[in-house]
Amino acid sequence: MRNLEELFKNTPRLEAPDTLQRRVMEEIRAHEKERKPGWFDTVADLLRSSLTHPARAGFALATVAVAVAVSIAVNTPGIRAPRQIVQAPDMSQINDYMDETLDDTYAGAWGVNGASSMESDDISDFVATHVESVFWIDGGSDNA
Amino acid sequence: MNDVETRLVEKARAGDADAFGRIFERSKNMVWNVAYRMTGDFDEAEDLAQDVFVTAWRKLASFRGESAFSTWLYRITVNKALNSKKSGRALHRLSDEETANLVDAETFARQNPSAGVEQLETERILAGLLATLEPERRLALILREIEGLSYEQIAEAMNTPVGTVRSRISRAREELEATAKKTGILP
Repeated sequence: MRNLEELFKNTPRLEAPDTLQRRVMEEIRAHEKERKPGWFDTVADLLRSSLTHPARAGFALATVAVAVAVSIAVNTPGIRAPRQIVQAPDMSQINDYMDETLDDTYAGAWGVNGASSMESDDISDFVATHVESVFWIDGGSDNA
Repeated sequence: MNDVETRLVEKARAGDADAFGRIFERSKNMVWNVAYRMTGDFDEAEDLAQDVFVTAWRKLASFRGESAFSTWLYRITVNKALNSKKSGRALHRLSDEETANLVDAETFARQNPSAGVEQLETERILAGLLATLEPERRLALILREIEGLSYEQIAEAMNTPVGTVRSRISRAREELEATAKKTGILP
């Protein structure tokens, strides 16, 4: 072995152990029912596939506009906020969905790179790992 | 993605565990090689690889096919590997004894029955050198030099600009060459 090139060239691809398949498939079977898509997955898929990016942006802007309008109205003298006590909507499903789709992305972006940011290669590294990933979540695709 | 892979992913998304089993068959070595090279430990690598596949199964609904399935799987592997206690750190030192202990010869021979003494030695040298690198550089180097991914694919998998990937790989190589020279690990 004379140099790095030779070392990499002679490094073989290893075969995954047989035990890995057994372990993975056991785990998958145990969670098989959880993966069957429910009504929420179907609605989310439909929304996702029917809305284009500009439409999503428009929807988000409209939501913000409504929120601002309500905030102004509630704080305007003479206009009183409704006092009726209503029950908070059940957010558990959407929370589960957020956990499923975004948790790991945040874990990768903040947990790991945050710890080693001071050792990052350079400032572009830092920006890439801490800032770009945040925007990438909304604008990117197939977040893992 | 080719047609077969697309169909398998669609079936698996609908909850078909057998379809996922076939996806596993096609991608197990890819995930295993990264997991093992990052951790340098068979048990840890197996835990990591299992975690990658179970996460992929649970999150298939979020995969929309806009990138290659393998890139998506690499991305999960990258996140898990960098979050792993063992692969998420560098050893910062290297002695002959440590290098010899980095690869469990018995387990290696059992899992790679066709491998000879020379291959075990290659594994030990590689494991010893990789262990000295910072995790992000180690990962970028593994994806490039061992997995054969392009800089663009690595950038996508690591969610990092291509320039940063190039810089990480270049610095990793410089560090490895320096370590190899200093320790005499590569004559």
